Amino acid sequence: MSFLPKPKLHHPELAINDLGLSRRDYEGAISTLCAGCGHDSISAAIIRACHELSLPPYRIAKLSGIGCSSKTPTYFLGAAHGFNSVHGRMPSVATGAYLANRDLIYLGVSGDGDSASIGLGQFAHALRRGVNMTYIVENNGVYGLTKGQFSATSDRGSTSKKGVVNTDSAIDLVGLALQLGATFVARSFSGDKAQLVPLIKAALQHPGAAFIDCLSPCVQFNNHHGSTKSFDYVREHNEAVNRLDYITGRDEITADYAPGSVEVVVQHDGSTLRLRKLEAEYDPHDRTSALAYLQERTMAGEIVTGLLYVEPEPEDLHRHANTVATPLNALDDVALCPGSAALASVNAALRHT
Amino acid sequence: MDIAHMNMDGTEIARRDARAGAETVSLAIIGSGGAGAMRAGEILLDVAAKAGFFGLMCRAMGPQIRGGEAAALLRLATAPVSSPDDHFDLLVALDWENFSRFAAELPLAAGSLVLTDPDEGEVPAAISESGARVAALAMKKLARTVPGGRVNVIALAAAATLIGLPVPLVGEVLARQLGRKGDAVLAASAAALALGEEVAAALPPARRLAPPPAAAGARWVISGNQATGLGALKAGIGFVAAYPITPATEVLEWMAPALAKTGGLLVQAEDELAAINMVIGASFAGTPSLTATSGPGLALMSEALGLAVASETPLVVVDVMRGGPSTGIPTKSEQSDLDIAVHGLHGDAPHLVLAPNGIGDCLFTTQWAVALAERLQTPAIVLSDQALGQSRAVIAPPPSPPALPGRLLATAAEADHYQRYAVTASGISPMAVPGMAGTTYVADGLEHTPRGIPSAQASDHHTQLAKRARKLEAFDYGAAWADIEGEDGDEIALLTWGSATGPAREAVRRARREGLMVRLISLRLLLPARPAALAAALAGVRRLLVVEQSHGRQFHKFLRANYDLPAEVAVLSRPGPLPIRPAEILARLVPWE
Repeated sequence: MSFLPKPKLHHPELAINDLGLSRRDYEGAISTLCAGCGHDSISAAIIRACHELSLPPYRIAKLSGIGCSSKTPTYFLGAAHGFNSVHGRMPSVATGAYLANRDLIYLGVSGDGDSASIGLGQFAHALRRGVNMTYIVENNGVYGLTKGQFSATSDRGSTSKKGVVNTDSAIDLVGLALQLGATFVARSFSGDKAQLVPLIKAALQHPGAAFIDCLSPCVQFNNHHGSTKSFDYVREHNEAVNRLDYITGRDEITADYAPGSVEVVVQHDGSTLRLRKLEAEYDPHDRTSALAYLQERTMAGEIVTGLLYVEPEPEDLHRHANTVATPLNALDDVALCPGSAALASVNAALRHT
Repeated sequence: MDIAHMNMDGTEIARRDARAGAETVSLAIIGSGGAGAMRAGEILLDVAAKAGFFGLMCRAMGPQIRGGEAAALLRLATAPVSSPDDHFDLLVALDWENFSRFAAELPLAAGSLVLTDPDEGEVPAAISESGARVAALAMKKLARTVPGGRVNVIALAAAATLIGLPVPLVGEVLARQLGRKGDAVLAASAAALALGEEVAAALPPARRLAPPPAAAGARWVISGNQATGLGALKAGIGFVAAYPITPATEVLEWMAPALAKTGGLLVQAEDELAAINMVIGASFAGTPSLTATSGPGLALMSEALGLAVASETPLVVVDVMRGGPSTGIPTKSEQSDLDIAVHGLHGDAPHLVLAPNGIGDCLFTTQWAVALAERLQTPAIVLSDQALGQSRAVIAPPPSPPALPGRLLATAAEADHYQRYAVTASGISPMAVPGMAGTTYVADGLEHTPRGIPSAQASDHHTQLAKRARKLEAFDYGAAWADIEGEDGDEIALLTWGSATGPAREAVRRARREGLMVRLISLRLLLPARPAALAAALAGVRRLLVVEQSHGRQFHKFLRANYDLPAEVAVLSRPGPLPIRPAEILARLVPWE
C-alpha cells in the first residue's frame, strides 16, 4: 500500500477558517487512485466542506469499508480519527461508535459494491435506525478495485467495458434511503462541485441519518459508451431539482431571487439551508411524492440530483434509545455507579422466589 | 466405586436412603409442553435453595416454539453439584406424550421410583425394562377434586414429600409466585399442595435427601447465561450488540434491562455481521463491548474477528455452543465449536479463547475474558454451551477473577507523535479514545505501520504480526488458566474443558474416595496455549484421560497440536446431545486402577 505524505507548505494567501486552519489542514495523503477518478473530486469536496464549516478535524471520525471509495479517507482529513473496516460493514462500525460516543461527527464513505451488494443489509439498517452520520456512497456502478465487474447499481442494459450487457435490475440507493426513513437524502455528481459541496456541508450539520448518493464515474472501467455512469452520460442526463446554498445561522441572505423560487429550511441547530428550486413542483419534504417523482424520472432516463428529501427536525438513534447527552464512553465511575439500590435490583431480578 | 448399590433391590435402597438420607437425589419431571413440568422443576430448585441445599436443573426440550416435550432434570444435594448424576432416583410423569423423544435423557436404575398417572396411558416399555419401580398416582383426577387445582402442583407436592423437601416451603415459594393472581388461586394451590402431600404418604419410598449442611451460607439460583451476563456487567461492559439465537438469547434478554440500570446499552442488530461490527465500533469509540451468539453466528462473525485482531480492538464474543454443524440441534449442548473458535480466523490471528467450566464459572470466566480482552486489546471468544447456559444451579456465590488494569489509553503526553501501533516490549500499545486532539489515528484492517498507515511492506507485516503475538504470549495469566484438583504423586490425570468438567470433577472425586488417585485438570484458557503450565500440571502423570463432548475429538486434536502429553492417552469423546455422566468417565478410569 503506497502512502505519500503531502509536504505541508502553505501558500501564504490560502484562506483561513475560524479555527485558523487552511484547506491544507483538512487534506490527507496524496491519492493513489487513477488520474481523473471521480472519487478524488468527492474527497476534495469533503475537504472544502469541512474547512468551510470550521470543523475541528479531531472531532471527526471517518469510516469506510472496502473498495476504491473506501480507500479515499486516506486522502482527506489526515488529522481525523477513523476506522477502515471490512467490506460492507462500515455502517455497523459507525452505529456502534456513534452509540458509544455521540459527540463525534461521523462521516461514512462507501461505494456501490460496499453498500448496495455485500453491505446492503447494514446500509439499510443504519438508515432505518437513524444513525446520526453523513453517509456518502461514491457510486460508479462498477467494481474498480477488482477491475471492472458490474456492481448492483449498474443499470439494466448498460454494458461493461468489454461489451457484456448487464441483465440485472439496478438497486437505487436513493429510493431505498427514502423508503427506509433517512432524514436527509440527496443525489449529486462528482463533476458538479457547486452542487456537491453545499450538500455535504448540509449533511454534516444534519442531526440524523444523512445520505448522499454521489455518482462518481470510474475513468478506468466505466467511462465508455454504453455505460450509464460515465462522465458524458451523467452530464447529459443530470436533472437537478434544486440548488442548495448552505448558510450557517450567522450569514445573511443577500442575493435576490424570484418570489417562490427559494425555500429557506432552518435545521435543528439553527443552520439554514436555502433551496433554489429548479423544478417548480418538487417538494423536498414529502417522502411519498419524492419517491414517486424519482421513480417516474428514472423511468424517463433522467438522473435526478439535488436535495431530494430533508426533515429539519429529525429523530435519531440516541433519541430512540433514550440515552443521556454525555457520551457512553465518557461516563465515569461516579456517573455510572448505580449505587447499592440499582445493584440490588439487578440482583433481585435473579431471585425467583 | 459407587455402583454397588445398583445390585440391591430397589425398595431396599430406597428404604435405606429414606432412613439415613442421601447426599444427592436426582429427579425428573416430564410432560408435554404446557403441562407445567418445567415450572414445577424451577419451583423445586428454589425450594431446595431456600432449604439450604445445592442443586442443578437442566432442561430437556425439543425445538418447538410452544408445546412439544419438556423435562425438568433436577439434582439436589447437600454439597455443590457440578454434573447430572448417572441416573434418576425419581421420575414424575405428568403424561407420557412424546416420551420417546427424550427417553435417552432419562436413565433409570433398579432403585428408581416412577410416578405415573394411570389415566395418561401405559407406562412405556423403556420404563418397565429399566427395572425401576412404578407407582400409580392419579394426578389429573386428584387435581380435579380441588377447585382450581393444577396437576403440576399435585406432582410438586408428591415429589417434595418423597425426596424430603419441606412442603411448607413449597407453599411459600408458590405463594410468592402466585401472589399477584389473587386469593382464590392461592387457596387452590394450597389445597392442591396439601392433597399432594397427603397422597404421597401412601406411595412407596423414594431416595430422600439427608439434612442440608448446618451452616448454609449464601445461595444463588442462577443460570449460566445469567451468570455470563452478570460477569460481563461486573467487568464493565457498556455496550452489547447481538442477534437472537438459541441457546444464547437469554444472555441478551437478561442484559438488556440490566445494562439500562447500570448505564449501558444493548442493540438488537440486523444480523451477526452487524452485531460484531457494531461491537468493534463501540469498542473503538472507547466502551468495553460484547456480543453473544451460538455456532452459526460465530461463523458469520469470523471475518470481523480478524478485523478486531488486526486493528487491535478489544471485544468479547460469547458462543453458547449447541449441536452442530449448521442449524444442528439448537436446544441441546455440544462442545463442537472449539475448532472454529481456535482455528476459524483467517490469517495469523492471535486471539483469546476461554471456556467456563461450570454455571458459576460463567461469571468468573466472562469477567476475566473482558478484562483480558481490554488489557490485551484483542478479541476474546468465550465458549459456553447450552448445558451451562440454559441450566440453573443453586450455588455458593462464585469468586471474582484477578483484577487487571484496564485498557492502556493514550495520554496527552503522546500528542503529535502518537503511534497507535507502537512496537513495545509487552506488545501492548496505548490506544487513543477518538475525539482526543493530537492522538488521531485510523484503525485499520489493512496491515499498517506503527503510526497506523497502511503498509504492504514485509518489515511492517513481520513487526506487527510479532507484536500482536507477543502481547498474548508474554502476558502472565496467573493461576486462573486452569482448575486443578489433586495432589503431587497422582499418576493418572483427567484433562477436560468447559461443561465436560462437571461430570469429570465428580468422577475424580468419586475415584479419589475409592482410593484411585486421579488429578483433574480443566483448561479455562484455551488460547493462547500454556505448554509450560500444563507440563507442570502434568508432572508425574503417566496416564491421561481426555474428556470432551465432540464427535471429532476436537479437544484431543487441539491438545496434540499445542501440548506434550503423557505416553498413555485415552480419549472419551462423544458428541452431544446426551450429557457425559460421571459413571462413564469412571468406567474408563477403572482399568487403570
